[in-house]
Amino acid sequence: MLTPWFLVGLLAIGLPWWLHRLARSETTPQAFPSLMLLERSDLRDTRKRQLRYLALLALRIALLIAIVLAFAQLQWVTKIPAALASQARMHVIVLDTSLSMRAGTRWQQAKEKATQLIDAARAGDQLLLISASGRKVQVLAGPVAGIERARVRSAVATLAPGPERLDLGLAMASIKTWQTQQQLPMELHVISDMQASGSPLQFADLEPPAGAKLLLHAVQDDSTANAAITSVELSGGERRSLTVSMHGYGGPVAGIIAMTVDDRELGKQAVQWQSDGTASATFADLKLAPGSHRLHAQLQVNDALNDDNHYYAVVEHTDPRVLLIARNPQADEVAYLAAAIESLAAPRLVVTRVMPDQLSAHTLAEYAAVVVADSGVLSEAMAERLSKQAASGSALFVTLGPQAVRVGADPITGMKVRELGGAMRIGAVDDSHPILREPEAWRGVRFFKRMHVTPAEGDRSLLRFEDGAPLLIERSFEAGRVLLMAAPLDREWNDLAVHPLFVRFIAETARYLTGDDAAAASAQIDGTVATGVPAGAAGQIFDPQGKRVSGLAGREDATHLSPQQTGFYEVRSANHSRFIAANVDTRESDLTPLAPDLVQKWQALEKPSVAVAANATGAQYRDSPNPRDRFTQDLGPLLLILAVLLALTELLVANYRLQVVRDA
Amino acid sequence: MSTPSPIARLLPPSTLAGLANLELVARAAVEGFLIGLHRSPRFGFSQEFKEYRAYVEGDDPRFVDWNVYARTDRAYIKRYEGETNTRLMVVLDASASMGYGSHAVSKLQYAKFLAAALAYLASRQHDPAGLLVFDTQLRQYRPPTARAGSLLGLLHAIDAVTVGGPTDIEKSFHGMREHLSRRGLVAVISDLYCDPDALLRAVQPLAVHGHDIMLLQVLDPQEVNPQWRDATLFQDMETQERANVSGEFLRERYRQRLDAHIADLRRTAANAGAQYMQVSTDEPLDHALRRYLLFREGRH
Repeated sequence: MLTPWFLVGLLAIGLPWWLHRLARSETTPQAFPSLMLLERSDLRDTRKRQLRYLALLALRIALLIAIVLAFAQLQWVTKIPAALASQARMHVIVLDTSLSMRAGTRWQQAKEKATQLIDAARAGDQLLLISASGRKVQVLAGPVAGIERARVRSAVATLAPGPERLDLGLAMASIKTWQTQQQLPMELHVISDMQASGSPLQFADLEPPAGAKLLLHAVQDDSTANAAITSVELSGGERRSLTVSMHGYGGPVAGIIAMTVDDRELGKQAVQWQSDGTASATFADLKLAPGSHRLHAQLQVNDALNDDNHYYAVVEHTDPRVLLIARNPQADEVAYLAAAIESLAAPRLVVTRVMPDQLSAHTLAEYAAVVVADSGVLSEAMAERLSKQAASGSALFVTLGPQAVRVGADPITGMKVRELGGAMRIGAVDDSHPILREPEAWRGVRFFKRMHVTPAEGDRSLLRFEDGAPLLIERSFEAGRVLLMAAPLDREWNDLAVHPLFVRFIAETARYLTGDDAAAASAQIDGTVATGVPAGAAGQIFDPQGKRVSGLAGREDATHLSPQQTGFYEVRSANHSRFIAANVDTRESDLTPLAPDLVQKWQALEKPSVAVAANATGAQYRDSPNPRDRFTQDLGPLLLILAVLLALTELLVANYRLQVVRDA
Repeated sequence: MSTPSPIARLLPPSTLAGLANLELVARAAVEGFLIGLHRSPRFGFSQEFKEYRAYVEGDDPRFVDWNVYARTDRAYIKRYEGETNTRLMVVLDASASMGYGSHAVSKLQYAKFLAAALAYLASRQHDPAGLLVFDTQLRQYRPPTARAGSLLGLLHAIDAVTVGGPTDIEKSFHGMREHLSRRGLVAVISDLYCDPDALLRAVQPLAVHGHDIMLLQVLDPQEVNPQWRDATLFQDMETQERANVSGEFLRERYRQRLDAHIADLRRTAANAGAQYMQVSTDEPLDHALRRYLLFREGRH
């Protein structure tokens, strides 16, 4: 009895009893012409009525008792004979459910082996079934007594391998963390195809839990020949051709590679394998419209695994646009900036110049980056709009100028701005940043006038003057970022615009701001990927079957995703919708098993425990007051079935009885 | 086995209840039992010539003896033996208790069938028939008449009777006396749930006045043989009073009480100079009429 408080519910038996008494005393009167010839009776003739309802009452009381006992989790305890208890073992069966187990007859073999182990357990043994794949190492059944093996057997029957990769070291480490106060000697059965690619970096990670006897059951077959697609890339300066890379394991297999773009078949090619087991196929002269495209490469080949014959990718094919905001679009500074940005070969950027009052006519989400020349020209509303755009994942490059000095602050970052006199050169360059790869060249740039800004905590000063004052500051804006240059690109202030460094700096800045998206477009099964949806913002994720899935932090979170199936996940947020491609880990494609000597070494990694090693005969177990010298069976399901049967019988009997009463 | 005649098939009360036309019910019942008799009935109304009397305005011209008129140039009406008893007055109990019915036909409905059949019989004999309806008091009076078309009106009046309140037979009969000034046959159709002494006080004055009184007690089969076997809560249909009655009483002593009550009624009827006959609502109507006729024959 696990929850005896539910026994209070037995008081409910009084309800049908009371109702039956009530039914006896409050019958519906029968109309009669006259009571003249009738005689009142104080003593009611209830004997027959009691008999009539006795069966119904008994059924109702039995129904209530069954329900109450089911909720009280009544258990049937059976004592295990001492002889059996002394030899008891804890059998932990770890089933490899990774992708490679789908190959050939491996999974069938694994299930048969697991069933054999379950059937071989004695009544006093304990059984624990664990599935291991990817990051999921979970208990599926148990621990239960051997006599209840049917539950574990049914768990095995319903189990199937998934698309994840198994790291044997990670699996063993997880099992070790689960090892609790075991009072029984443990036998750890690992049923796996023992993939060589599943072995950890450090062999010691394979060490079994202390005191456990490791028993490895390798399931293997001849189906080791397998091919997989390893990558799909857009290549060429103009990004007009697709290259599919493949790898064959266990010998070449003839096949055809087919490419689909946005569900439209692009073409097919026969796979030409190289001597090193690799192959590639190129689909040239792509006519991709600007925008995002879903690529699906399919290797049509008869090999051991099917899941790795598909590869999904998302590519952006567009000429990214940069919005350049300036009070005077014809000013020298604007001309310098636009020319430098457009000089970038890849990606080829297109600059759109607008004045602040024209900003409302443009949708900021359409631009890969926004450049503001002298942010002092922005109104508060404009600055707020740009800040929100940066927070949602966009990038801003802002220069300060005379207007910002007049206003006294940068309206986007809120930094205070004031003008400083005196010429000075660059003193410190953060050359770890991708846009500052020529630190020495920066020292040659002369600044005739300067501005002083105060960065906030968390801001990163990339360039500093000789006196330590910041010149170039980077600030993260949730999913986006802002680069602030505390100087105009005007020759009145400095000679950066005519310096050889300028074009490369601006071009790299543009590449940095546009090329490196905050969110990735592909992920591996069981990995984690940022979706690009800002924290706290509304967003939804749909799996390849179109079903809504939860983010890592729950259903309301869409910032990160851990894909569980291959295909295209769709991420919808307030501003836009994007796809994330999910593929299997190609390390699972190599079905080569661990070398036999390595398996033997692993088997020999047993580590005796202090407590259990001395307990090889189970003596300690036998002497201790151990609850496992008996096994319990939960009677809840049986009681619920009984309750259902009683309810049905009660319905039938009540219907029959009440019918008789009505007829009377 | 002979096939029953179409009329005979109509005679079970449950079948008659399905006939909307009370005239058809009466005709079917009367014709049915006539066929069963195989001879001309007397119905209790004498056919023997007794005397002539002078025609007065209002008499049915059909009864004028035209031969006498031709010889004497005076109009005389033929009178027959027993004609003083031929004025049929149906006294119908429409109290709430008459609304009881354990099957398709309630007691009031059966009583209406009986009343209609008696009226039809009288009409065949060209005898005037009237109607008195009572419950707590006299509710309706339709004077006896034998004029052409009066039967239909009478049947409609019978058909329109509905159950009313409790029974007060003494008060009701007291109110009837003024309408029963001429002697005749008074057929009282009731379940007679009343004190026999009260019944005596109600009926005796009429008998003394020279009326031939026939008490027809209509009972439901459930009243005669109650089928309840367990203790049952009953509600009086007239007073709405409730009483819990034991199954043992219903199974054993109730019948004794009913028999005693019926015996009292018979005795009261005999003392008052009336006749008593019990009818069950599951009895075919022609059977009831035949019993009635035999009963009347025994009297005459």
